[in-house]
Amino acid sequence: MNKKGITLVEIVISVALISVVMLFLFRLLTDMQYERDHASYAKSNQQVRASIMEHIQNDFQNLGLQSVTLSEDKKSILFAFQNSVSKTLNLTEHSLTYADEETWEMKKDNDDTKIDIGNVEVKKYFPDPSCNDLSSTGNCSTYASYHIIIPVVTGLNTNVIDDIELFYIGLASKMS
Amino acid sequence: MPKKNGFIFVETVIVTCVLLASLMVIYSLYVTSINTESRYTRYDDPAKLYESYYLSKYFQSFDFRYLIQNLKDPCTYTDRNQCLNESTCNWNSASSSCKKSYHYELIWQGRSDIFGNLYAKEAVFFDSLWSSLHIKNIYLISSDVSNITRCSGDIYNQYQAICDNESLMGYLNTLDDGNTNEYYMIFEFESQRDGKSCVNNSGCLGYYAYIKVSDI
Repeated sequence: MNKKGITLVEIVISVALISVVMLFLFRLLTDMQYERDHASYAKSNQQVRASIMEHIQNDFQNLGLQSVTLSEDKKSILFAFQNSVSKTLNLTEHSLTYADEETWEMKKDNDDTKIDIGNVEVKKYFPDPSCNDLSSTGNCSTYASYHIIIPVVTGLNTNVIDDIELFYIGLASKMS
Repeated sequence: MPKKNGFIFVETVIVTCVLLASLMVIYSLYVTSINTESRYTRYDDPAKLYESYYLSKYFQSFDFRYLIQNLKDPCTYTDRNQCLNESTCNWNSASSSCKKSYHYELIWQGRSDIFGNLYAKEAVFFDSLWSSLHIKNIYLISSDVSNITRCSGDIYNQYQAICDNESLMGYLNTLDDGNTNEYYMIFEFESQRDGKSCVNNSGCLGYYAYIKVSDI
């Protein structure tokens, strides 16, 4: 009976070949983990997010946005529209309620997924008061804009396509 | 007594090679699929679509016909003055240095002519929007761009374009001038994954939205 076994060189070559296979497998698993961490929430939450934005943006367009006010604790945003209509968006870590009519629960991939209330921002771009002066070099546009950003974080990850963003440009004369 | 040789070295090598080949096929399919999915999440995102909608309305409130004329004009924007001096600047008579080599009209940060004499008033507002929304470029084109997803950058490296090895601009150039009564504005946004501005192009991702511009 042949009991020669395999030589050291053969073992080394086998290990090297298997290492190459493992390298590919490792890369595959790393990519999968990366995708899970960064994109899965955005995909699973896309419908809720789109629904929220559509609902509020429709009001911006149909009612004519006049002003946006963020409360001091950043837990509510007041939208004032033309014809003295106003609606409030209330935020908790896991839900949004708009005008006491609609509530959206954010889908959770894990317990760490939440609205980052502390970083909610309302950016406004309005003409400078000094624009009446003809020599002014400031913002003298006839338009004004609001950009509202409600960040959604998953664990330690922040991904802009998870965030709820609202945007509006209108005539400055009709906004405040 | 049965033979108890087990695997021999050659068999191990053959099996490993087959495994390797299979893995390579699976891996390439997987990467393609992941990249396509990732591109779709960064294309026509609802937030970007609304931003694009209002921006397109904003641009249309100025002399938008001027942009349309530029798009149809065979001369480049930068060469126009020079070209007008040397010819009447049409496709037949324009010199080769005058003719456009692209089929889109590009709006970049600080482009003043699109506002006419209102630029001085609009400059600061235009700049603020550009920076706040992380806009990289805006293109006006008359071709159907519904296949544009094929050309947005790779998720790991925006500049590694995967649309027939061409960039977005390269892709737009491959399109014919379509129906001249229909125009599309393509908005190219660029930011880091967390929404912050890009610094030295590291970790930058492209986001795309296109809006059909009508009633011109």
